[in-house]
Amino acid sequence: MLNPYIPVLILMAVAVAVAAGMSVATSLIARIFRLRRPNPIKSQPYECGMTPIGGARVRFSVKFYLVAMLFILFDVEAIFLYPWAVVHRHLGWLGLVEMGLFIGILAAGYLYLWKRGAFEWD
Amino acid sequence: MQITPRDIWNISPHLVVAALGLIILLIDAIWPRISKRQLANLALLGLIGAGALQARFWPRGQVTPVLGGMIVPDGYTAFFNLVLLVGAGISLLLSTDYLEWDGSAHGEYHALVLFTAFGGMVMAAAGHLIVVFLGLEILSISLYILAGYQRERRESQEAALKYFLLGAFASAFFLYGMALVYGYAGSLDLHAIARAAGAGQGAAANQLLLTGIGLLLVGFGFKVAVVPFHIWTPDVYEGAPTSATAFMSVVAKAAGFAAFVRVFALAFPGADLRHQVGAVVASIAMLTMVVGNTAAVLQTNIKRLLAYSSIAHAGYILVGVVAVLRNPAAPAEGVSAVLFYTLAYTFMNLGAFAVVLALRRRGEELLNIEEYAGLGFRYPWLGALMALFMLSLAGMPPTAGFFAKLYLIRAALSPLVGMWWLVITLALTSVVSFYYYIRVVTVMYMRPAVEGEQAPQASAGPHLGTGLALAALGTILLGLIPAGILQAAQQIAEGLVELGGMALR
Amino acid sequence: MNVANLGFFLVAGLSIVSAGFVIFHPNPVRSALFLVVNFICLAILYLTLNAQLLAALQVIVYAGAIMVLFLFVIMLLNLGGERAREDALAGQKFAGGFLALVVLGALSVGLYQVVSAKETRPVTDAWRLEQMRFQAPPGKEGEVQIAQIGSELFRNYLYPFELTSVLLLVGLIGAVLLAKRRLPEQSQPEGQRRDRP
Repeated sequence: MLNPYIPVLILMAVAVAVAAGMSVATSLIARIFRLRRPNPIKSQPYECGMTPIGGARVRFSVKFYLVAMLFILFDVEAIFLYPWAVVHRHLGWLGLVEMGLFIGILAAGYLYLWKRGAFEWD
Repeated sequence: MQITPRDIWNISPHLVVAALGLIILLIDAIWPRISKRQLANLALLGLIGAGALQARFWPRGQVTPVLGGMIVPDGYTAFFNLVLLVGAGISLLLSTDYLEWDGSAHGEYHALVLFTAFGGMVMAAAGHLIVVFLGLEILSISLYILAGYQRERRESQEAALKYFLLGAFASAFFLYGMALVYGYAGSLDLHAIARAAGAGQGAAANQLLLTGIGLLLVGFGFKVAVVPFHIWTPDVYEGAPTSATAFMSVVAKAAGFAAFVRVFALAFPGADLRHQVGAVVASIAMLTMVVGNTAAVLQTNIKRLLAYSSIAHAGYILVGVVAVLRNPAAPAEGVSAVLFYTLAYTFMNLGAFAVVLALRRRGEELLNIEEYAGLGFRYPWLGALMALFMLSLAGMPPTAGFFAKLYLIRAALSPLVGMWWLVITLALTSVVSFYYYIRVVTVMYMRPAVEGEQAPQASAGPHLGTGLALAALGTILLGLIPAGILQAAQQIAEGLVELGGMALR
Repeated sequence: MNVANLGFFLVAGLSIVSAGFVIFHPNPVRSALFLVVNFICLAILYLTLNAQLLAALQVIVYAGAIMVLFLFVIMLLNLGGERAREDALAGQKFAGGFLALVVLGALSVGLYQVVSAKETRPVTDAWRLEQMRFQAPPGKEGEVQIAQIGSELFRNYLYPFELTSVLLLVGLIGAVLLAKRRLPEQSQPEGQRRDRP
């Protein structure tokens, strides 16, 4: 039943093996050949040569919320394109009109967002 | 499936309302300086147009479903769509002055009102549970936004959050119920469900089906605010902008009951099953009437009072639903009582909110019932209208509310229903309801008025005045000539029953 | 036990373990990442049930979009610290555990009844049609499935499909109206309400 997925599975296995192998191999090789002379400046996290200040965890601005919400809404829109793309030849003009209406309504929503300043960062 | 011009014609009222919502949204976004009053007028014009289109289906319509069984353009649909259009229209009339005064008149408000009405119309017309669900979601999400419309007020934010969280939960219940019913029947088409439930031996004992029906009941129960799914109602009604409260109190109820009655009257035939479901609905109805009316007695805020009153009225309407379920000989009687009640409730409740929306005191809304003292003499017209709406909500003859209750009782009294205790509860709780409705009237007429700075002010512009007049006209006309509307309602109800019979063939 | 069964138990076990980590890991960011693992396991289970579209949606919507929102909210609330938080309500853990056991029990009983029951479901035309519609010829499962769903969605379910766009539109309005910090100025006068903050 899962036959079509066996190539995918093999590809995945190879990808995982290559990634894991490379990281393990490089760290092993480095362990064998490297010198070990740590000092405090070396062990700091790298931040473009600046001295790092404060933690890496900063509070995100709530403005990102709108971006995330809009992403989800348009993501859901995109999902409907997937089955449509598979069958649009069979659907003919009706399918085109249907999808046109669907996207048209959401394009109107997009226009609304634009004009209302939802994409502006203030 | 082929789409014919006939199909488009059948759903034309829906399309007009949705398209108008979109147009208003875009006009407002592109020309932000446009007068919001003009937008409201445009929306009203569109609602009247949609109403005119819809009236062509009155009162019988076409009973064969269109668009692959998704939409049933019958008289039942026409009735509820007209109720929803009237409710949305009067609400828009009531809201313009209030929003200007509040300083929050954006075009989105009008667009959202139209989308809510659209969602409700879809629910009323649905012949398929997926369409019911999508309509329910369009209606609900628009209402969540309207509840949180006054972004600067904490109460409004709280209302939106509470409504949204509980509403999303209720939608999930509904969806789960749909899934279980699908598991039983293999389809979500109401006719196909009816065939499966009618053919299945022991449908009344099938746990899959019964659980599914129970979960659907939770979903509908939340939307129309019946006990024990009513907890959100007072807080949301109090926190939401008053104009939005007025709107949601009538439109969510009408749309919710429209889909509720259609689904339960069509999809689950079989006397045993109906008997069983009817018993559950009856106990919910009793609980709702008792809790709603007793809690309303304790309220001092008019918006909370009207919230509990709306819960109580949902309980009364449920009595009609019980009559539909438990009277196989004449289910049409229950359906027509529900139809009449919904229409009457729309007029009288919007009227009561219209009076609340007209009143101010020192730059604030006048919400404390005690502050209505002397209003009857200070503003005789407003006082008289408020008294009319309160008496009608209480069910005093010869107002609309009285006949609405009378028809419900008549439908539920049939010996086949066998629920005399339900009718007694209805009568007793109505007596209790007189206490708190009449209290508003006595405060208005029996208490001395406050003068000077603290005195309440009334302001009714042309929009609000028209809305108030329409609500009053509806309340009085339904009280004076109830027979005409009832006859039409009966005809519509028979159409629905006939549809149910067709489904089984 | 054949290979397919082994695969199922592997993925199912992984999904349960990752779900456990979602609940019990003290660091919320890592909980969220374990949730991604859980979503992907579910997607694989959908594939084994021959529901390809559902699997794709699970990855695109849940592992993609919903996860972004989860992580965003975690960052917004600044829950990064790895500290055990006190429960807001006393006995919350106990009550939650108890309710979870009740649900587990109810589901088990329900499953048992369904598995052991004699056929009480009516075999209607609708059911037969449904079964016929979703049986693909062997070897062509993926393609045919999505095409079938597509032609269902865009023919019979045309109106619900268009309704979805209105639903999404209303969602857009809500996101802007409730989450946008400042809306651009409009023509309206200030309003006379005095109890505004």
